[in-house]
Amino acid sequence: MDRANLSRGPLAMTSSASQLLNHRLHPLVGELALLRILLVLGLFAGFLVPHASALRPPTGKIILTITGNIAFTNAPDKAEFDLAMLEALPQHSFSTRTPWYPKARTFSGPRLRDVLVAAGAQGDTLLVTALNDYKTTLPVNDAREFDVILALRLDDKPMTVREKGPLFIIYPFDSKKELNTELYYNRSAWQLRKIDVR
Amino acid sequence: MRLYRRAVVAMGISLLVAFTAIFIVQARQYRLLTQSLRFSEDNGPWSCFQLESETMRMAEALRDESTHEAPDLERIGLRCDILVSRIYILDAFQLAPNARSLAPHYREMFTKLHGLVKQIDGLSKGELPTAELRRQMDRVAHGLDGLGEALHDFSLESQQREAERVGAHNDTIRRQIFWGLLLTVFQCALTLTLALVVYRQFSTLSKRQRELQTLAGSLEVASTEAQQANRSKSEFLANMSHEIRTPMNGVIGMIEAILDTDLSAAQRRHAQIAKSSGEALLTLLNDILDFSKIEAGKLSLESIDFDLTRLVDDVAATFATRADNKKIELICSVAPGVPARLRGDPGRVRQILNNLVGNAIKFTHEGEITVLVSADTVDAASATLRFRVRDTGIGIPLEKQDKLFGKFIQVDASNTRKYGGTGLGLAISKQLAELMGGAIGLESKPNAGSEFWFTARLVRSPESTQARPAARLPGQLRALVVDDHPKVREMLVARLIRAGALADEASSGAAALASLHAAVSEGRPFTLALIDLNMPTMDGATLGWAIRSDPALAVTRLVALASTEEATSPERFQPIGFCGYVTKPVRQSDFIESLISLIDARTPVPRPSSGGTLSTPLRAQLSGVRAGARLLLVEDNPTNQIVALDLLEKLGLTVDAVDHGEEALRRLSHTSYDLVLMDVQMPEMDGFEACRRIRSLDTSVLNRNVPIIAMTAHAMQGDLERCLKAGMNDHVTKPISRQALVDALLRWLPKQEPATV
Repeated sequence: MDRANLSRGPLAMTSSASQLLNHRLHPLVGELALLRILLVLGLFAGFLVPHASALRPPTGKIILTITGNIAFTNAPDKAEFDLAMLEALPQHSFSTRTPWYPKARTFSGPRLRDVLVAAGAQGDTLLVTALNDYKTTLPVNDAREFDVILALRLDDKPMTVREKGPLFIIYPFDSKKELNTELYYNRSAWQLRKIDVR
Repeated sequence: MRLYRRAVVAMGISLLVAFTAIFIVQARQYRLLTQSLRFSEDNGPWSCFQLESETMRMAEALRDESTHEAPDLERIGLRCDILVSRIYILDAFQLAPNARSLAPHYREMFTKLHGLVKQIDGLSKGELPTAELRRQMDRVAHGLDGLGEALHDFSLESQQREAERVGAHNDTIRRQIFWGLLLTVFQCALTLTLALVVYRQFSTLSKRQRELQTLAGSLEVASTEAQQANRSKSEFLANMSHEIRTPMNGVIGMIEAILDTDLSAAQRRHAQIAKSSGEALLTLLNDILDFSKIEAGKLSLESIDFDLTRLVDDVAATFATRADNKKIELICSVAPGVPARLRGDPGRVRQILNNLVGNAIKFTHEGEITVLVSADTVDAASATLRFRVRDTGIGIPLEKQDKLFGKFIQVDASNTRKYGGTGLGLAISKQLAELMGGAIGLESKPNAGSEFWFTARLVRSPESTQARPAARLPGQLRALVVDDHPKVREMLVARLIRAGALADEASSGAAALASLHAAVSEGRPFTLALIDLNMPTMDGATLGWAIRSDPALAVTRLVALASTEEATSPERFQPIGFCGYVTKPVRQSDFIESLISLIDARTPVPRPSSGGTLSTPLRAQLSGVRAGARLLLVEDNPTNQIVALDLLEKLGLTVDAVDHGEEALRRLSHTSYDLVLMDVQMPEMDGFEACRRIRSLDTSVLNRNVPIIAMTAHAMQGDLERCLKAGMNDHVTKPISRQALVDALLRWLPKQEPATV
């Protein structure tokens, strides 16, 4: 069902994402919330140029910055996220084997697509940058097609920078055989710092 | 062929094994590749390089911050975290500082690195005064720089180790591919071989098909040849039976000629029996011909009118002598419901009956044989008749009964010598019965006799619809049948009653006398008494004598029931006072007519004719010939010899007979003959050779000019010429016609010299 929804538009909004938005819009716009939701949906469909500022500014330490083709910003031309903002998004968790650990580990965090929706991202490609300036690109489609998460926790413990934290792009490797290639391993950037939507 | 099949099976199995092996190799290859992607080790060198790089960046950051008035400790902390994360990653690849595989100098390097990291961690806390901090930072940066070369070496070595690992991995994959290739080649070879095998199989198949076609062709030829051969066989059989029939016709003709002459009753009967036997033999010959026709499916039935009763009587007559000889009663009876005149093939009906009766006599040693003809169904157009031949013979075991109607079958092979026979009879009978729309079968128990039956569907001839009035005895004639045999009595009484008589029966002489006297006292005496001559206790002759010597019974006419044998010498019983006799088995067809003639004509007791003397006309034919003329008969066949001897002797000639040419030459050497009758076809020395020897100049015979008359079986133009060429004077053809022989004898025998008479 999820898959079918996603295949309709560039990035269809899931109910959880709209809840998030609704929650944030409520104190600002009040009774116009419904109208705003419709507007947001229209933006996602690619009818309008991203413009509005819909994100609240981060209060904590910024751990993720989204730049480029995004609709919502909370800083000049960028959307900045602190840990709380990311944790406010629906959290997902799965266990998978990876090339980085000898055994299967459990990763938890928001879905990449939810994060992109939160930023009103519009584009085909994501250029991601790690703390150590490692860079890689991944197609936006990956976020639609796979339940890619931005892992915040490893085995339910927050990941420090020393442990590849604070953010780790994790594909559900064990749920799809096709993901077990160098291509997806390379896209799985850790110590993630920045996403540039193009 | 078995080896071939095994080879194919082996190949199939090998192919299967090859497939499996290829699968295993491929699967392993796949696993190898996937494994390398999973917990990937080839990131080792990259991680080492990253460590080196991060160390440099750490050093650079420290140096950079040390120049600032207020060093950015957060930046230092982050860089340190990143550096530590790099060290942790190496841990995962067993390249960590405390890994055992690590060389000592690298372990030292890592220890130093760890020390420096700890120092940075301490610096990041921001507890130190700025100047000291900057100095320390510079010092740590310097320390990190000092590790640069070692880290670089470490990277390079890792690179090298990775290259080796990749090389080994590639080697493994190469090996795998090599094996895969090898197996593929093997598989190709096997597939190719299998294809060859299939091709061979196919060509063998088509070759076999061609062979089969050839075989079919040759079979067709063989079949044609066989048919040709069968035709030849049929022709041969036809020719043979013709060859045999020719002399047989001679025999029968001769007997007919004898019957023309003045004969005693006994001689006449003998001759008649000989004649009917001859005819039966001819029928048999025809049967052989028929059998070949049946075999070829070419037998066709005649459709002529005939009298069934007469036919049955004739069959009975044919076997009368044989039945007599074995002291078996032969009783024939045609049931009243059977149409008198029928249309069909009497020869075939007779043939089957002959066969069944013949068999019955053959296998019966005492008792009786009853032939019964009845009608199963009769309608206006046709009748299905059932013929039953019941005997009291040895019987046939149940298990042999089924096979009995097959070809060349005899109940017991060991009986062949005892009972003889070709074994064809029942097979022919079965075919004939079926051809006549009927069936054949038997019921039998060992030692309790057999009953063979057959049915035949016959057309009623138009005459039978307006039935010929049956012969009837003069009104209310009283007749007594005296016979010890109940079935004979029963049958005769039935016939007499059917003919209008008041018939009674008596089983013995005493009973007969009692009945006769009783009838007289009742005032209704018997007009006729039929008396069996052959009875126990009181025989027929004695009874006859007893009746004739009683004046009270004078009114009763006596008719003897005589066997064929007894009928040959009627003088033994006729003088007693029998007015005539009827031979057993009693003929149904003219039994009543005979009785009527015996009663009405009041014929005196027939006087025996002179008998045994030659009729005058025949002897007179040779009257011109010198008396006592002596002949030599050269004939190898004993029967022919006897027939010829008989004829010649009856002509009043003195005849010596020899079997072959050499014997003839010997005879002629010491006895003088007036004429030689010479068979041309003989073993040892044939007629032509014997003749040449007789005529030859240095011959030992007394008279080399003795007249020689040839006897030839072939009435052909060439024969006479050959005979004359061999020195013979004349020839007669077989079967020898009496007249032709007489003519030839008259031509060549010395004439009567009037002076010597």
